[in-house]
Amino acid sequence: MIRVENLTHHYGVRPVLLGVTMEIADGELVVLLGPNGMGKTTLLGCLAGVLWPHSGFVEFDGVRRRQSTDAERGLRRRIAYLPDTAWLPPLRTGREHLLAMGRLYGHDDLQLFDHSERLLRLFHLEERADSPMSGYSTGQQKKIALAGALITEAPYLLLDEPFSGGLDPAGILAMKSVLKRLASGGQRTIVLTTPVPELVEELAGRVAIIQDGRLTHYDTPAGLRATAGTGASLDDALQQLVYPDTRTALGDYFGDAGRGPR
Amino acid sequence: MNLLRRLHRWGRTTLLDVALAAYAVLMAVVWGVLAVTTGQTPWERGTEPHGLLVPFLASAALAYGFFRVFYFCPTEHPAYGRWLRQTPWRHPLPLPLGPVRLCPQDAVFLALVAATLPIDSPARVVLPLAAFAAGYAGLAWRVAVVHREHAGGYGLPAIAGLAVPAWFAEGWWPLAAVAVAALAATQFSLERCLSRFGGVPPEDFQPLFGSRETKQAAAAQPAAGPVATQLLGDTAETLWPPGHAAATGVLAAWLVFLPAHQVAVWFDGVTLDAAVTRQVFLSIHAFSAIPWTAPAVLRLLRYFTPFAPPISLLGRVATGRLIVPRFDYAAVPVLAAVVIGGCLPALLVSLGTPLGLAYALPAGLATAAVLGVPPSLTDWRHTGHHRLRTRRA
Repeated sequence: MIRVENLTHHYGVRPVLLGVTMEIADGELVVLLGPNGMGKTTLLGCLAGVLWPHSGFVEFDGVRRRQSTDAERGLRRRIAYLPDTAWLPPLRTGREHLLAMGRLYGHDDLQLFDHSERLLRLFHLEERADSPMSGYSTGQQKKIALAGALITEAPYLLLDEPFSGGLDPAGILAMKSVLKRLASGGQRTIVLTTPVPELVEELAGRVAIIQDGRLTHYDTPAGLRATAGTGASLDDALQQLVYPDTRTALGDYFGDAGRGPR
Repeated sequence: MNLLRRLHRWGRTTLLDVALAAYAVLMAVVWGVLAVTTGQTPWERGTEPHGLLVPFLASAALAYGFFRVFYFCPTEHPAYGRWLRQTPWRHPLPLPLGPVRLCPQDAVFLALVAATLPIDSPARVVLPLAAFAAGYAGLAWRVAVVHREHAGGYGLPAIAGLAVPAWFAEGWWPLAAVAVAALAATQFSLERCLSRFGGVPPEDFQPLFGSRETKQAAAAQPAAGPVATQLLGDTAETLWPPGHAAATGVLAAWLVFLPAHQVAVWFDGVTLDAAVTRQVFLSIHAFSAIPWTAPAVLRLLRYFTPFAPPISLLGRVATGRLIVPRFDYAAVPVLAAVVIGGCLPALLVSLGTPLGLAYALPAGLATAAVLGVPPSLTDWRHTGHHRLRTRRA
């Protein structure tokens, strides 16, 4: 279980997270949703341990981050964190990268050969698997980075905007299916961020909405629909909860208030 | 085919395709130039090293040694290092990008270079080995200094100094022994540096104010700071801790002793013309001054550039206050270094001290004095009888 307690973080003097408190149960898939620059990536960075909050703390299975060297090393072996723009060694091949990632998490080579082959097939990367990654397209780099996170088989997956960065429809479908399968089996606890509400309904066990650094809503999709009171569509509910001003701004832009389009 | 693919994968651990391709192209160009200009074909071997090919191949081995640390050591590769800090990697697990420690692929590369050297002597093996060791240990020394790994920081230059007598010794094996010792010390030093690597990612150390670019640039800095800061101390302070000043003095003395002693060995029992003798002594003198003159100049700049003296030179003459003790005392360590390093060697030589010692001892003392003798810049800032410049000059 992941426990986030009263997390507050600043960049310079600008607050980015303000008193965020939440719990994520084992085997749950939580989507962090919110407009750009509202703290989703910062929250994920605090969970991943790459940022240290100014106050509050993060616990995984009762172990706080950065409390001791051994505990932190133990946590890192159980958490795979994929930032939005992941670093990939340009002169190494995709296959070499996957094997290296798997070895970092202590998997043996035979298991890794099989798993990497399956991942490369899943993301349609077999043909490029033995080419240096410097020659990969943006979408292929995103795919190999996602495959790198999956090959770790870490019980906790923290993914920052896994569906962005040039991923093609086949890649989005593959990634969605894999994440759904992993979470439904209760094998992994997954936290991911996305600014796109359309992906949420299929994936999320719970949705955390972050606005201006505060956790404004944290509920199941059904719970969010009920909160918004907008009937059947989760998209409508999320638009109302996450981007309440957008419809007004659209009306304003198209001159619904009588001014005409600018 | 399968065997070839396996061999290729095995070789790619350190020998990246790009590097191998560049090496092959350069080799083809050099052999082509040789064939056209001298008519010499690759399979013609002589007893004398070829003028152009030997430096080229030695440079290739040197570049490969440099590359082995530059590309594979996470402390030298900031993006890799930042990424690695977020993973469960810890020393001594294998590094995901490839090993920075020596591996069989290195031997294969050196064998390849040795095989293409047109020399029929042990130099064929020793030259590539020594060049590789120079590149590998050279950059590893920087890693040791930045990460305050003192065994490598002091040990590697001390071993490198032995290359001077080894180069002039009879046979190639002394040079091979120095190269092997340097490689062993480099391994030890890199392992110690890597054992300290990891922990808190540097992204935490962001400046409070500044643009996003400034913060990212700050985050990209190695945690221990740039080499200049490590070598010269904190920018607000110029004095080295006494232990380090003394150790650097000993190292400077050692590095001056080796070539000076070598010169003494050469000219032992040889009667030289007075002009030649003077020239030789001047050369040794100039060489022995290198370790302390550079830090002395930097120290003078640090102390005297930001602060104006109480009176100018003309003013001192006019007022009769030729010496202003609480201002001038900041220059005492540098003056002491000039006296010790500049005058003492001649005195010691005239007293019959062996040439190596006569130059090494003053060089070591002068270096230690420049680096470690007070006043510190902090004391000088607070107690010196100078004027504070309130406007930029």
